[in-house]
Amino acid sequence: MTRRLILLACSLCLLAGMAMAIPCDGDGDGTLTSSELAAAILDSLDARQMGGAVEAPSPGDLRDAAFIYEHWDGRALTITDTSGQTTTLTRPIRRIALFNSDSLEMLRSIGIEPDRIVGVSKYVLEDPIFYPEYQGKANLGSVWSPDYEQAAGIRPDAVFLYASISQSSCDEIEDTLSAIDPDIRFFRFDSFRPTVYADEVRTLGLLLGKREGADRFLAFYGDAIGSVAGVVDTIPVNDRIPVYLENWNDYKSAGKGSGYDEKIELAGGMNIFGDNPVEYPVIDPEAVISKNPGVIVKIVGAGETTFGGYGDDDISSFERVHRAISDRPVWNQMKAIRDGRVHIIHTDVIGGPEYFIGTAYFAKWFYPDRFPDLDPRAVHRQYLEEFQRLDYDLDEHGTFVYPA
Amino acid sequence: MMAETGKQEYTRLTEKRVLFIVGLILILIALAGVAVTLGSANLSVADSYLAILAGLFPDAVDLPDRMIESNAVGIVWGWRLHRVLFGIAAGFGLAIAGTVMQGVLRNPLASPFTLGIASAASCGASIAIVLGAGILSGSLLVIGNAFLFAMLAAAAIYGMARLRGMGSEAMILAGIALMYLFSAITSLLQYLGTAAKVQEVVFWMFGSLDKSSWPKLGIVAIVIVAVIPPLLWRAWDLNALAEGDEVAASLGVPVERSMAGFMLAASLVTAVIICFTGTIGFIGLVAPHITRMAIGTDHRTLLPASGLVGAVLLLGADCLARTLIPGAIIPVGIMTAFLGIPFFLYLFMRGRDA
Repeated sequence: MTRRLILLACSLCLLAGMAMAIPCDGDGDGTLTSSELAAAILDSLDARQMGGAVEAPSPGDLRDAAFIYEHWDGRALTITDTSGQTTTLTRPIRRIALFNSDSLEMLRSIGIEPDRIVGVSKYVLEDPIFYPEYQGKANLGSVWSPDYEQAAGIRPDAVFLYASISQSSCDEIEDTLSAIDPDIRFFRFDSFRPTVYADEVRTLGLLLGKREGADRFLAFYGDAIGSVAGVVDTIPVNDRIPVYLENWNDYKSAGKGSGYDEKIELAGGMNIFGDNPVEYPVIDPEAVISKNPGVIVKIVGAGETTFGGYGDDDISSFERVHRAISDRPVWNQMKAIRDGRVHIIHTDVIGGPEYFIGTAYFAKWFYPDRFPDLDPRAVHRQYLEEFQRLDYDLDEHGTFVYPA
Repeated sequence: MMAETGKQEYTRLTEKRVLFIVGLILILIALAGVAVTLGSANLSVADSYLAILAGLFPDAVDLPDRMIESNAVGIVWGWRLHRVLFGIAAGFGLAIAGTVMQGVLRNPLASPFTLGIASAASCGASIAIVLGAGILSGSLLVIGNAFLFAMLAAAAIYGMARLRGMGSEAMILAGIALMYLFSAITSLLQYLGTAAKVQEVVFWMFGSLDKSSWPKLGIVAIVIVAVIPPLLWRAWDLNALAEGDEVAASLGVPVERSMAGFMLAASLVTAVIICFTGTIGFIGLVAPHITRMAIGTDHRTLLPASGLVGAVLLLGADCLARTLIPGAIIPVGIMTAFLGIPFFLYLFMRGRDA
């Protein structure tokens, strides 16, 4: 009886080992060498073309082995995502389902092939102008209301979720989909947070075999961020301009540690509510007046200000918002309004993966004299053409900032 | 002669009750049979049942390639089946909890929702989602908070009512007061939260069977199996309490202890269901009323029948929620509200006419 149990345990271990094994790794040492890959290719050719009797690897195994040899140096890949979850892979990820549309944009930046994406969130399908090549993919719903049957039915190798937003919903999705299909791997990335942005690009490049694309994009991104940071670093802290930032809800600002606070700081501004412990506090209008900011930035594109962005060419809504801020009672006595330094920006270029474009606009608005040559629009254009591969004329279409 | 007529009347009523319950069981079986074939995975009726068989007898069923490619067995066993059973268990439990609360408090508007238990659960969930604070962690953070707050609300209502002498009016007033308090805390958290967190809170409060799983179904089933039989056993006490405290006391029912016991049982069943589903409204309010209209107020049959009506309503609402808009699932909490609000208005109008 004991012997039987030991045998059973051994066979289970063997099966688990086989599932974790790297394809075509002849000696099973966990490293696929060039000679092992060559032998596998020759065996395969022999079996298929010459009628050889040697047991040959399947075309799928051969393809996976070639990927692992080329992109992962012939070894299993251990990846730690932004949530700190570690996953070891012995097969490449060929079928990707994304609930995180920001990660889809990041994947496009590193040059992912659209046919590797098998399912996307409903927000991607609702945006045919920015995501034309993903229309027609399976609709997974949203992280708050996922369509599990669609997500499991498209047999993804991996599902991408958010790391730091909607954590309990993402946990729920992971638990439910794992119960339906235990082979699905889960990765959590944010793709919009400055502190982890570059690391995420690098990790995704390695994970998906797009290291060159990731390096190319990181060089562009580094230039964009570096051209701002290089100047900002020379501005003494006491000389930094006080900034009031408001999102699409009136008087809802950004407090300590929030994403917008971080972005104001990157552009060299001093967030007047940066010491507020609430992440997104609703502030008293009097507090803004008493702090007398030098620049006011209003973000639009959501809530009551759902206009602008890639699908809207009409700037009049931006003008209306701009006028309404200047018309707020007593606000005309504030420095920012007296000096005409109220700026409207769309969330597309500051809230998501394009935040570095918005940060460049911020820098230009905060210190026009220090950034005479900085051209955020040119950065935006290059991003869309070279990295998003979009046929989109920025001079003809879209509304992102006001005054331009 | 009178006794004979009474006996015949009672036999007729008993037959009617048995017929009603048997009819409900048949409807529930038919509904469950349909529900396992519904979903966005486009499995045919035959494929859905073949997937069930393949899960039961993996060696005996030879699955066609299309079903292996679309992961039909995984979808049916890992998603649809427990969702359908969870809908039945949740509807059954919520309806019985509502019946008990209405019986004990002698108020047709008593339900886990009007007593503040549901808004307390929402408040607990909101604290977990917006502030990330709670008694448990990971995927249990929201569930743990929702359960704890629901039970805290029930304890607070009981405590406050006890201070005022445990009257049913006092309990309802205490419940309404708590409902407003917890709703205000939830609103404050929504006001302060990020757009994504507010969205998450809103979706939790819609109530949905999307969050079901086999382990969660197991927990709900254990609580129902542990709590409902004793309730049925004490159905006579509930009948006596429904006639008034004095009548119950004169029949030898320990009024305060029984009320506390019934309320605790109903609160526990409600809390353990809504901590998993979010706030599924109106089942606890509507199901007892429908059942009372059909078979009268004897809690010995009212309790199980009302549970079955609740199960049929919730599963029916979920089937509608999954099929009304192709490719999208409307949260079942919204669908039950669509069913419940017209009924609530009907009761209101009927009351005015009377």
